[in-house]
Amino acid sequence: MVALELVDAVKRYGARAALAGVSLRLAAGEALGLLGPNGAGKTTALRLLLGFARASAGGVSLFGRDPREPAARRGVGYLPERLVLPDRATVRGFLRLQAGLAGIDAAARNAEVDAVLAMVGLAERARERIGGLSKGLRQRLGFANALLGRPQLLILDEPTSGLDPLGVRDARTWILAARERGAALLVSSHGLSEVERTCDRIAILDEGRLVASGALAELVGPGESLEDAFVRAVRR
Amino acid sequence: MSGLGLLAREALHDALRRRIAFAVAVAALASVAMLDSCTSCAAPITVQGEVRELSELAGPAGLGTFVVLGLWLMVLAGVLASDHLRTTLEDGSALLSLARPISRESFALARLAGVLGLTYGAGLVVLGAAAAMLAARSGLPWLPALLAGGACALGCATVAGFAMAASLVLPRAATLLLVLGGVWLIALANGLGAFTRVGGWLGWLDRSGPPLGSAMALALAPWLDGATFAGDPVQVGARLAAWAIGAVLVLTYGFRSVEIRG
Repeated sequence: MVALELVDAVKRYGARAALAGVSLRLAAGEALGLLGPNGAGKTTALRLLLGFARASAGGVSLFGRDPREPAARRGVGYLPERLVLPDRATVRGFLRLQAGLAGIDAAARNAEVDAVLAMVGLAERARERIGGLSKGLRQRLGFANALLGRPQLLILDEPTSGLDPLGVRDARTWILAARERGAALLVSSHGLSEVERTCDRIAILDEGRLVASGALAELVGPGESLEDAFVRAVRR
Repeated sequence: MSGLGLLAREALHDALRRRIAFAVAVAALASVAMLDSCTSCAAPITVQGEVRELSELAGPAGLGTFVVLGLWLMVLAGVLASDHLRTTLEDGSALLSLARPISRESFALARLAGVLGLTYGAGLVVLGAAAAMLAARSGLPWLPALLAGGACALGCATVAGFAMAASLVLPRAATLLLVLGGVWLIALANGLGAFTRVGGWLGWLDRSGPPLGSAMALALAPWLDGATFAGDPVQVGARLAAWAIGAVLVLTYGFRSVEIRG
């Protein structure tokens, strides 16, 4: 099953093309790292895939449907780059609301919330207000939200932003655990090493165009690092 | 509870947590205190050289007070709506909910419900207290007040729906001006139209626009003891309901077309 697909997707803002004919495809269980310099079009691609924006041309689908249809987003866990959480809500209250919106049964919500809180190490803080959490703990909460309901597809935008080295290692563990149970993964990041460790395919965008795409082994030449391959692709 | 219900509850909590909620509570209580003071006054007054008891004027005074309070509530709904949806888009807090299997329509309706929940709460206190005091102290019947309350509720939904839709394309200051200017103009058109035939665009506004003032006034006409206003209360009420539905449709259609910045 195809989890997500962009087919010659174009997104224009006035005369400027943020995406200029990008095609991507992610099958169930695959993990794709989306790389590119600032302004390359990574976030625009994610916005199209989540139905936040409409493509100017080309096709976009999520589990075979138009992402603007609510049903297409069932089974999607999302962690945005700019994570805004309701400061006055409690950690548990926020996750309970999100679990309800994700379509998790009322009877199963508490158990599901407890499970993700334990996973991200926030079980002890469940009753605290979100406003009192540090940046790193908020990012952990963002992960907990994305992992609610065991999503079939995880879309993570700069997932390790604000995490300390221990948090980064934990995040990698959660991502790999999701992959092990068969979730597809799309990670947009500047952290090349994280992408290298969690993804098996890489797509590099530059100025709205797909400049390189393939398995890690195909993109990275002998004796090269992913950083070398990335620089080569965007300076071509 | 459905996604819409969960979001509506959250939107109401958001509205109650806003600083303006405290101001609304204070203003509502001040209105009730003012009503208490006004309705307990029993001094004789002179009208065109004739001495009359204030209780004789309870009907018109009650009607005027009720309509003014209703218009105040409609403005309040518009002011609250002018940023209740827009802010969630600007600060990015809507992203997590909109990435869920929730329709845009549900999200917009939930935000509108949050605004209306706060406004209706204030309305229940203010209009309820007004109706109770006028009934207890001046013997004015409850039913017209109840119908006028319903008209006020439709007016609030109309103003809030259009304000929220306008906030998607206009800056907040412009939306606020639109709310204040729009309600004031419609109230003026309705006020003039109650006593005389008004021509021009003001007349059109009275006859075809949302009857924010006249629907309430027509509902309260039985308080006037024989005097009547121009207009059929049922037709005017139906026109206001149609405008309220139109406002909600404009909002949901508008929000469906909006691109959300991630």
